Amino acid sequence: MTLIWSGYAGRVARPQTLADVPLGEQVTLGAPDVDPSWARRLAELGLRPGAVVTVLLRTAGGGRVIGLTEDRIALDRWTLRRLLLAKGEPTVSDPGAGSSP
Amino acid sequence: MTERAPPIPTVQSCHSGGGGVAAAEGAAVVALAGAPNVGKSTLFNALSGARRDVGNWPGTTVAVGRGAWRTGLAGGPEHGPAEVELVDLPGAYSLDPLSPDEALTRALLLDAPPDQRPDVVVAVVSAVHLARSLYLVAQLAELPQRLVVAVTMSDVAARRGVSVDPEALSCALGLPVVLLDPRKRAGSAALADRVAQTLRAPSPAPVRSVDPAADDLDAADDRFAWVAAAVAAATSRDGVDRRTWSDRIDRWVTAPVLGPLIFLAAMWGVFQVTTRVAAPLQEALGSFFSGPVSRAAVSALGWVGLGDSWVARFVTDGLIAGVGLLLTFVPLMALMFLLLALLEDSGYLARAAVVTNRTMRRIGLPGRAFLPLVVGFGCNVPAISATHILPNARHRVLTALLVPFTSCSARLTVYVLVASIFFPDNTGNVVFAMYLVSIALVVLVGLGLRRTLWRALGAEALVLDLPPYQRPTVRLSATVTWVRLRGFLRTAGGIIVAAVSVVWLLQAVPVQGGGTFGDTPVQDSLYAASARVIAPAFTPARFGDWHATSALIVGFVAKEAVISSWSQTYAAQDPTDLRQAGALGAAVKADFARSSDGHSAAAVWAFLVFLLAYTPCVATLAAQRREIGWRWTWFGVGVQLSVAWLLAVAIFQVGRVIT
Repeated sequence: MTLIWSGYAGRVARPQTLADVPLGEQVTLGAPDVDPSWARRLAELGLRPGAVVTVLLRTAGGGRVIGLTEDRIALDRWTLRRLLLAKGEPTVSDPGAGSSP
Repeated sequence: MTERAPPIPTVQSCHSGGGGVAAAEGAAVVALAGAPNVGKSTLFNALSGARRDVGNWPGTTVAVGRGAWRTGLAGGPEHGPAEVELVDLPGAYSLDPLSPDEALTRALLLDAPPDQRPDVVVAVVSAVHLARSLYLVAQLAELPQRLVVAVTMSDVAARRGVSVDPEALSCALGLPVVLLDPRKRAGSAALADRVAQTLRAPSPAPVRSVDPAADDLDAADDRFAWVAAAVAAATSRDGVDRRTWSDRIDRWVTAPVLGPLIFLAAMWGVFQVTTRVAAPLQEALGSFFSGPVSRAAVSALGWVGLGDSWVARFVTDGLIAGVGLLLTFVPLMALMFLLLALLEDSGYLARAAVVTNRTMRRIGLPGRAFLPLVVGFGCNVPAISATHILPNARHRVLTALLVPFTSCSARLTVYVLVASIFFPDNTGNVVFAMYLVSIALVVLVGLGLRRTLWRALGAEALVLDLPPYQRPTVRLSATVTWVRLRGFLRTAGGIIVAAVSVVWLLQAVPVQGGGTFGDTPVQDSLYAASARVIAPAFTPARFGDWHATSALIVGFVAKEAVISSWSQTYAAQDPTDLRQAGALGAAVKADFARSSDGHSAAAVWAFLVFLLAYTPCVATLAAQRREIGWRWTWFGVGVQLSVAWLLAVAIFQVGRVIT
C-alpha cells in the first residue's frame, strides 16, 4: 500500500479493506469485492456501501467482530479483506487518535 | 381462505420432537417467517404449546413445524378464529435463497400456488436487528399477502438504548405491528387480535409496489431505502455509545488464544459436572430397578404361575435389566442436555462457532458447519438435517460424512458404563477424553477427505450474527431439556424393547449343549454363535470376545441398545454395582483381561474408540440417505468402519507396549 491516509497523520498506511482497520476505529464501507449473490447477502445483513461500522474485537483465527449500530457480526479474515472501504471519504471516530493494530 | 395446507416437508429426529397438536380441518393457516434467530420457534412454542427445539443462534430451524394455535378468541366471523394452524418456517434474511432451508421458505411463501400459501404471514422481526429483519418484510409486502409484523426482543434493544415505537413502525410500513415477548409469553392476545383483524380484511393487495422496469439491484436499493425510512421513523436511540456486556464478555471468549481454551474448558466442565453430579442418582435408580422392581415383577409373575418360566427370565433378565439400566442414565442425560441448553440459550454457542472457524476452514468447511456438528453431540440425526443451513452442496456432503464422528449422547451411556468399570476414579476425565477424540476425528477425517476427494473445495466465508448474551430462562432451558430427553427416551425406549426382545429370542435358541428354547446357557445360544463368527475381526484390537462383539453388532442398529444387550449377555441381575465392579462389571473386566492377555486398559481404549468411530445407528444412515443419497452414505459407512478398526488396532498395539 502506497497511499498515506491523512487521518492517521502519516503514521500508518491508509486502510483499503476492513482487514486493515485498527481496533476501535469506525469506517464507511464501499462496494464489496465478492460475487453478486454474496454481495446481496452482505447487504441484507447491513454490510452495504455507505454503512458505517466499528471494528470492535480481534477473534481466534484472525477474524474480527464488528459493530453495525446495535448488531455484532463476526467476520473471518477472508471476508474482511473483501470488504473494501469507501473511497475518498474515509471516516474515523477520532482521526487524530488512530492507533496501530 | 384456503382449505388446504401446503405440502410441507418435516424432519424426523430423535431429539427434536416438537410437533404440536394438529389444527382442525379447514382452519386458517398462519405462517411465522423472519430472519434467523429472531425468536420464531420460541414464539411458535409459546403460541402452539408445541416443543420445537430452540436455541440462541442462527439456523436452529431447518425444517417446517406445524401446530394448532388456540387463539383465545371466541370464534366465528365476528370474533376471529378460536384456532388456527400455525406454521414455523426456517429463518430467511430474504426471499433470495442462498441455502436449502431459505429455499424452502421461499417455496412456501412465493413459489407455491396462491391457494396453497398461508392465509396470514406473521413476519417476526427483532427490535435489536430491526433494519436487518425488515428486508424480508419489504419483499413480503410486495406480494398480495395478508401480513402482520411481530416485534420481539424489545427488552434487549431497550438495554442497548434503542426503543421501537410500534405505532410509528406500523405507519411507516403500512402494516399492523405487535410487540411481543415470546420468552415470557407476553403479547399473544394482541397478536391473535391483529391476526383476526387481518383475516377479516378483504382480499390482500401488495403494500409496496415495485417498478417493473427496475433490475434486481435497483429493486434491492429501493427496499433498503424503504427499510431505512421505517427504522428512522420508528426507533429512537439514547445516543450513548455503550460497550455492552456482550462486548465485554466477547473480548475474552472470542480472543485468539483464550477463546479456544475457554471453549475447551466449557466442554470439560459440562462433562465433569454431568458425570459427578449424576453418579449418586444413577446408583439410587439402579438399586431401585434391580431391587424392588425386579422383586415385584418376580412376585407378580409367580402369582400367575409364571414364576420359573421363560417369560419370567425374559422380563427380569431382559426387559428389567435392559430398560432399567438405560433408565439409570436419565439423570445424567438430563443434566447434560440442561447444561448444553443453558449454553445455547445464553448465546455462547454462536461464539464457539467463531473460535472454531479456522479449524473448520482447514478441513474445507465454513464456520457455520460447526453448528450441525455441535448438534451432532446431542444426536446425529437432526445434525445431518441441520446441514441444510450450508449453501454449498459439497460442503453439505462433507459435513454429513463428518457428523457421525461427533459423539452423540447415546454413546455417552456406554462411555460412562465402561469408564466406571475400568477407571472408576476418572470417569469424567475418560468421558471428556472421548469427546476430545471425537473432535480430533472430525478434524482428521475432514483433512483426509479434503486432501483426497475434495482438493478443489473452496472454503466459505464466515459472516455470523452474534446474538446478544442473555440470561437463560428456566422455562426455556427446561423445555429444551425435556424435548431432548423425551426424544431420547422415546427413541431409545422403542429401540431397546425391540432390541432386548430380539436379543433375548436369539439367546433363547440353543445351537449347542443340551438346552431347550428359553432355557439354554447364553454361551450355547444362536446369539453367541452369531457373535463368535464376527469376533475374530476384532482379535487384532484384542476385544474379540463374543460378548463385546455382540454389543457392537447391536450398536450398529442403535447405540442406545448397547448397554442393555451387553448386560443381557451376562444375564446381569445387579447393574447397580457398576462403580464397585459388581456382577456385570466383574464379568466385563474378566472378559477384557482374557481377550487382551492382561492388557485390559489398552483393549478398553481400543473398544471405546471403535465404538465412537463406527456407524452410529441405522437412523443416521436413513438421514444420510435422505440428504446425500445412498452412494455417499455407503461411502461414509466404509470410512467409519475402516477408521474405527484401524484406530482400534493401532491403539491396542501401541497401548500394549506402554501399559
